[in-house]
Amino acid sequence: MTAACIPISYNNPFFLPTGRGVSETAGKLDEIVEKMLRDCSPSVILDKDTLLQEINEVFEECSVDNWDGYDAKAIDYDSYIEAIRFARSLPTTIPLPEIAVDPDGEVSFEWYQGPRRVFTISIGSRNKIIYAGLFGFNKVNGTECFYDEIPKTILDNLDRLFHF
Amino acid sequence: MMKFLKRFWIILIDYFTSKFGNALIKAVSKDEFLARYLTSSRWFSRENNRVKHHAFMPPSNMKLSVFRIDNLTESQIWKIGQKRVANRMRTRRNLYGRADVKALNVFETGLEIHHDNIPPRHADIVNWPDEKSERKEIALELAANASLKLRP
Repeated sequence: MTAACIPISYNNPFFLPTGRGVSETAGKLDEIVEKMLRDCSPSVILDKDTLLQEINEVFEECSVDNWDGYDAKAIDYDSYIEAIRFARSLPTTIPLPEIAVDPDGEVSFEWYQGPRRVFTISIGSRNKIIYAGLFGFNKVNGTECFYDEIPKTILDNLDRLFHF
Repeated sequence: MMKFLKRFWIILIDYFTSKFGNALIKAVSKDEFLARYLTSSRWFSRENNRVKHHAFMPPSNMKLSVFRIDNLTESQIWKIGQKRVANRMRTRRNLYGRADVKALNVFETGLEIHHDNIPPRHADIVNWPDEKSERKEIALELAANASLKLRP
């Protein structure tokens, strides 16, 4: 049996940036796209409901200062809102990340592929994505702005993680 | 009051030094193991038997709390975790496990280990970079080199 591999990059049929239009037609188009993606096999696409549920769970768990016992800050509400927006913008071909909160209160996503094959981002409150990754002995880190779409650098790193 | 506290502090230090020996006030050697006690279930993965980088992200004071665990039995190591970490927290926390990492792996990232010995065997990993993205990368590196020990 041959398994089909859907590329992560945003120029594939499973990554349709939505929510840009404000007209009635744009709204209907969003609904159609969402329905189409829901109909796809869950093994192929990211289960966004589960992801959003995870984000809500960490919000509950980390909503007070010192939630970890080591003086971590409570989850930053703006970061939480941005994390939801980020999760909704993620290409549906990307595997489910693991969610946690950093000691500064920012929501963090982590994708793990194996020892020394890991990529993580933290969502800041001011349209800022802080990222870092290990790809074997290669390492990356940096900061990107997050406006309408997920920055290309982030998608490229996820592509590197899952397709090499 | 301050004078009294200072004197009391010196007596305490003397007591612990005599009790635990000089080995613990020596600089941390690169072959030593350090334990980071895990107080959140989101800091490790049972499925992959691994520590996540979140366990090594420093708090706002940029001091990552660890304990020196060389020459201790497993039960003594867990006792320290319960007594010195879990029981001392302002809010009740579970002690899920620990991440053991070699001091060499810490030094290789450019970080330093400040052994204050307060409480005994305690140390802080310090000298974190200003940029959060760099701190994340270092935390990933430490997690990749750490071994997960779940609480029995």
